[in-house]
Amino acid sequence: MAGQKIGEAIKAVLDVIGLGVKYTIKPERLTIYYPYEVPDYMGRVRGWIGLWTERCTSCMICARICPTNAIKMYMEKNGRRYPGIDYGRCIMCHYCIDACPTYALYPTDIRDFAFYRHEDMMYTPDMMRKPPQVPKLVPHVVKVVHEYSKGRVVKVRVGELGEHKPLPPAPSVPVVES
Amino acid sequence: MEIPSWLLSPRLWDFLFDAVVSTIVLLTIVWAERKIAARVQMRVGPFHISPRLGGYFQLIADAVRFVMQEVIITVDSYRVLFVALPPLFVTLALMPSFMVPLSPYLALLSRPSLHYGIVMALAILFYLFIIVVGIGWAVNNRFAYIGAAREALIIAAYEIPLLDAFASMFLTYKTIDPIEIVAKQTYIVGAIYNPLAFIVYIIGVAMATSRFPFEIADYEGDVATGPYSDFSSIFLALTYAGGIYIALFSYSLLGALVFLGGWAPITPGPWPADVWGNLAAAAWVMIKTFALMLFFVFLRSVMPVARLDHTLSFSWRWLLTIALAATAVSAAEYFLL
Repeated sequence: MAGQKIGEAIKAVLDVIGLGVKYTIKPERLTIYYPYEVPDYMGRVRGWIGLWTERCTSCMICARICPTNAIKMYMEKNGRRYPGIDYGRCIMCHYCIDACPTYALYPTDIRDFAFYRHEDMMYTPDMMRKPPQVPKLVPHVVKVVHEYSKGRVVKVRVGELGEHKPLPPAPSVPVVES
Repeated sequence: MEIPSWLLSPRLWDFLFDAVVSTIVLLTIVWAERKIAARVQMRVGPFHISPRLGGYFQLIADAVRFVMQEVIITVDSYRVLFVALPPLFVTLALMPSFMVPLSPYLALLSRPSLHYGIVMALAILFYLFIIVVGIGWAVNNRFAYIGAAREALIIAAYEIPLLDAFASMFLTYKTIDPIEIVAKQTYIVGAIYNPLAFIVYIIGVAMATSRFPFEIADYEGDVATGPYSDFSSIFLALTYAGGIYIALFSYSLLGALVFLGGWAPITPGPWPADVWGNLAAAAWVMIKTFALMLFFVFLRSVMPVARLDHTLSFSWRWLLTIALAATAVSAAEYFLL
């Protein structure tokens, strides 16, 4: 309004109304109906974190590198400490996995887990051996595609949601004896 | 079987028609506002409450939530006005729609007072936003004070041009009688008689009912819902979340009668003999009202929010000028037509 020519202002108002009418009549929707459709993560998912306790050396690098202090070292019956993750604080950055010198922590693509209570989010080392049970979702993977040549946004169905990948085999690094 | 005469009273039918249809229109318009905004913003909008109807009953769910919510009256507020003003707001917002006829024979008022129907409706609608300032005072909270002060500045800015737009149309039609006004729009509607007055009406109503881009007094980004900042539950539903839409309905009904020709192409016969003709005329008025409201709520999806000083300078500098030009056009038509 200020410093703008009147003609330009009127034209801008009419333009935006025309654009709104166009989208009202012919909408382009980006919404992914999450429980019924799953967005395509292109394989780059950082999910639930598993633990092989037999590889763990209790070096506590994971607990120290954790940016949100989600990892706490729990004393087990054998007198050693193993990491347990609080998923109420975990931001799935997987720094602990990167930092682990013996590959005791391993990544998975399990992402659709939810909890009813805060206590359920505290994973102790024995719980981290078994992946959480994830409800079966309606298997549609969709992807939002920007068709720049046509100036449109469309949602395409990429494929079916497969089963979660099997857990990776234990890497062949020598077990550090302590 | 003889139908009792009170059952065919035009007052009863006008009251019922207005009450029922305004409720349906309000439900639909809030749903339409959300859906249009969602479509323009590439979302879906209300969906899960009734998936087959596109989420139409979302508003009923919201209303149930508002009614069931705990009523909180803050300690510092002026309790009497805090409780009394929201119902008064809705009453004054809905009352103007009962003051105008919906067809030549379907009106709540009878002849000598019906002559002043539109003028009375405008007077009540301009009282309405004094109540908003009163709400800001009764809430007794600094954000409510700020919101009420902003509302008061905007009231001063839009009232004169809006009144001028209606006065121009009265000058064009040479009457203030709503039935004669509609009769004069049989071939050409008022918006074509005087487009400038129509533009002033559109902008003025957008300012009066806090439509975008003039949602300034109660814009959440600036002051937390302005004068209504301590309202919750049923109070919020009666003012900010519902009452404003009822005011929009009343303004749009006036606009449909004065600018869009009311029931113009339909000329129903006398009341009890031609019941269906009169009801069709009333339905046609409501369709025009709905179209106007649809435009006003559509603005939410495409417009930014103007700043208060920009709005005031625009209103006093340009809107008032356009309103005066509209008066000049009407004065010319008064002598030429």
